[in-house]
Amino acid sequence: MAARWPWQLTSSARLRDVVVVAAFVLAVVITVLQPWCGRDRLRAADVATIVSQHLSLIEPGDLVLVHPPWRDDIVDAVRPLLPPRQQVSEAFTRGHTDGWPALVVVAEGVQPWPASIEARRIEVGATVIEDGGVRFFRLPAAAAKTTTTTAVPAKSTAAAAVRGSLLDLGSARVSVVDDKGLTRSCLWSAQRARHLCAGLPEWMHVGDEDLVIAGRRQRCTWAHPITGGRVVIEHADIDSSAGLRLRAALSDAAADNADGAAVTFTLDVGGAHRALTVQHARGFAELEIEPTARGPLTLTVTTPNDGQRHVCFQLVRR
Amino acid sequence: MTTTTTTTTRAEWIAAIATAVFVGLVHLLSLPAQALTDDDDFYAPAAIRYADWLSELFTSPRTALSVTGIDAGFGLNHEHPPFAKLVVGVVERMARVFDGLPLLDGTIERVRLGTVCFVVVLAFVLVRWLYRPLGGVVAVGSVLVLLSLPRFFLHSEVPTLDVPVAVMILLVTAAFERARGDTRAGFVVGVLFGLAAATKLNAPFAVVPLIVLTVLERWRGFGLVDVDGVRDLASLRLPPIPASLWWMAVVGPVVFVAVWPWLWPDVLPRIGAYVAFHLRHYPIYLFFDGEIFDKPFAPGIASVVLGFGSVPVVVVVAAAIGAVQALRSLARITVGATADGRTSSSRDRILALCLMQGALSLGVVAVSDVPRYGGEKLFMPLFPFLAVLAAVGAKQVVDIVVGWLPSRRPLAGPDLLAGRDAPPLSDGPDVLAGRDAQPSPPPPPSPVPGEGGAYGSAALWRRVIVGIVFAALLAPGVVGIFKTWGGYGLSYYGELVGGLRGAVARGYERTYYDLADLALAQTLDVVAAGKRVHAEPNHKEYVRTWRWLRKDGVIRRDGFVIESRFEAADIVVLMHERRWKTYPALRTRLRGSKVLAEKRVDGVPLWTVYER
Repeated sequence: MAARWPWQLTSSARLRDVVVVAAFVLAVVITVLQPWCGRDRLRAADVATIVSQHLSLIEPGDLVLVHPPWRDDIVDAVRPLLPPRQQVSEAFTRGHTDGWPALVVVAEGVQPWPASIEARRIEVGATVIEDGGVRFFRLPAAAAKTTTTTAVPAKSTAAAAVRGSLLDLGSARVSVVDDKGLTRSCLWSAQRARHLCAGLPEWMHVGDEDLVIAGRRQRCTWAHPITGGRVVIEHADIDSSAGLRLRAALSDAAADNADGAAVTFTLDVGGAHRALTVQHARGFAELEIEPTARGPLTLTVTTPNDGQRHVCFQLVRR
Repeated sequence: MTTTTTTTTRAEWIAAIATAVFVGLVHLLSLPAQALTDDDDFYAPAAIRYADWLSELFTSPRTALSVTGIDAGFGLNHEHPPFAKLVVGVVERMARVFDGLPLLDGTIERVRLGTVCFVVVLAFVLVRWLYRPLGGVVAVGSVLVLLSLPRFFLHSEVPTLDVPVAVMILLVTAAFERARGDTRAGFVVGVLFGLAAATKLNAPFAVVPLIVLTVLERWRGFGLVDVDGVRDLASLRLPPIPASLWWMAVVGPVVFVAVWPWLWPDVLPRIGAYVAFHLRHYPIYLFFDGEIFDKPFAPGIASVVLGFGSVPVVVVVAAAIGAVQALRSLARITVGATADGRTSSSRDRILALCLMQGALSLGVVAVSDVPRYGGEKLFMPLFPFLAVLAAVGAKQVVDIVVGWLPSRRPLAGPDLLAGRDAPPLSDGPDVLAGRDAQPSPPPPPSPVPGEGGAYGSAALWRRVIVGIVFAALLAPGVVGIFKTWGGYGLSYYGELVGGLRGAVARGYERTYYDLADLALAQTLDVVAAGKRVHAEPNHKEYVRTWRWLRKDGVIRRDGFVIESRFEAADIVVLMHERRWKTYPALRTRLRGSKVLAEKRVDGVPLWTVYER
């Protein structure tokens, strides 16, 4: 019998056969070609030259995000082109519900960027500029997802802050003292809109987040305590002339943990020294402070055991 | 015919044993190079403790069986059921006789051996199960496909529960399919189901496809019988329920409790606590699409992307071809249903079960409101079934291509590896015609391999095509294993997402599980000798895992000093896991520091050692 080649076949069954074999062969071809297609195209110095022609796109306070994330050589090449305080990095991450810093994406090659960035780009209508194999676009800063997605001016993280909060986190001073008395300063990250405590677990930060409290998502300032130590939040100048209300809560999951330890918030303001403890109850516990003169404030968070102590607070006008 | 059956049986046994031995050897040889996961330090000590308790049960049963003894023996890691840990612990204890030999010279290698034992059993059972209904190529090919998946390869060598539960679900499925209506075999299914449930929480879900298959095979047995002209619940006529399902319902829970002594002092409250722990599982970060998810959990599509994106595209495509065949099998089973479900072929049952079990494993994680983390580890049972479907798909490609050769006779011939009784995998006559459809005509006499003439030539071509197709199927995974050799298997991504580079660009995590690979630890032994080393972003996990390497002598006891404070460290190791929110700040902070060592795969950094 003579050979029957695929193009000589007509019936639907044979067409199916051709599709099956073609799909398999295509997969093999993709396997072979994919490393070549995904290679780096440009040298870092060439990218830097191209970036230098688009510096007008970058505004003060923007984070220049180099993409793809393994091109740290491009970061090194681009950095000298920018003002000393301009952030440039290939390492950018954000929580799903977090807001956005103002970003200028510098993408080399053909690699796609994350779907979250692409969705944001489409949302704000940012145009991709392509020049010599480098793609650029700028994304304005935005508040957290729980609010509307209207863009807010660059560098402003206020929209993501706790509504009505008297505490300007960015100008507060945060430190963590561990059970051995060692003090670590937690630096404010404008990009993350929170104080990050290097050398401590990731959850040891202080910043505004959404937690499920009393069955619904509520925005408050996360301040995870540390076993036997204390988290100290200091603000040089708080207007407490109308009185203050400190509200503190565990997340519902943490409050439901029967083994969870108590967490105590101690507030020192205007000569008053008051404490508020949360442990098993869902929802916010509250503490009211009488009006005092404008001045410094210190809030200290402590616990004997920090296991699942997902706790946060709000400091608002009474 | 008797001679043929005997030959097939012998070939079947030889293939099963040879495949299992091959799988065991490959894993045995690669064990010492494997990384530790952050779960090793939970499960390995528990496994050893459980085995100690078993030992105590023989030496002083009264103490072992007291509440104090049970709590001491099984309190460790009681959040998870014990069967896999018991096996791992017993194997570890038995393997101590090999202490001093190169491959098993350490506690961590010995506990890993327990997981390997599960995989060896899987290889044996898979070949035995598939050999006759689907042929030797598919039977052996399925095992090889599974062995070639880089991520499954890594999971097969770490003492965790994910691969054991995948194995147990496959054993339950295979035993159920084989048992049909047999009562004794059904009892074995019940026992296996109990052991599977005692392996990991997701095992009980495996019953769903078995029930669905039963209903599809027997739906004609449902009916309403009028009793005195009244139709009520009593009028409902049900098809006979297979003995296996009864045994699973009756024996399964008994076995579950019997093998878990932790439950014995307080059965119901402790089962309640077990279930409650998992229902309220704390969120674990997952980096997906460039975002960090904890609560709300990552979207369900993340499971699908990370599942199919972490295997070679050629395997995905072959599995899709196999899945189409499985859909046809499901249709045939449904159309050909009888009251007692006895007409469907083993081939159809196997394909239908593989499709449903695979889809369920992934679907449960993708659809339900559970934390999605750790890439593919939560739906590990998908992969054995995916491998079967991929081998079936590849075999179909072989059959089609062979059919295009000048001599068509070998197309209808049997699978060369399958003995003379195995049918071709191409659908042949469309049996969708229903239960009355006639069986396929018997195949013509088989060509004898190695004989000359047209048959010999055709047989040779067929072998060549089998070789080419399966080489194409296996090669990407094998290359991936070598590329990620040394404990980086979780950094493997398939071509569907552009490999590791494409995945990282898309915002998927480049590794997880806080893997502690030997190369890093040994590098630190050299470059950081006597210095203080701190790991970021999740230092505490490396404190636990490096302790194992030190205990086993993989790294020096007097080498580097583990330092818990970043500021006090001389050397900082940055693991490039982006699910940690501190990662960008750390990366920025360490930029400019001297890089002492770095591990990159495909140009993507996995870890960097900095001197401060």
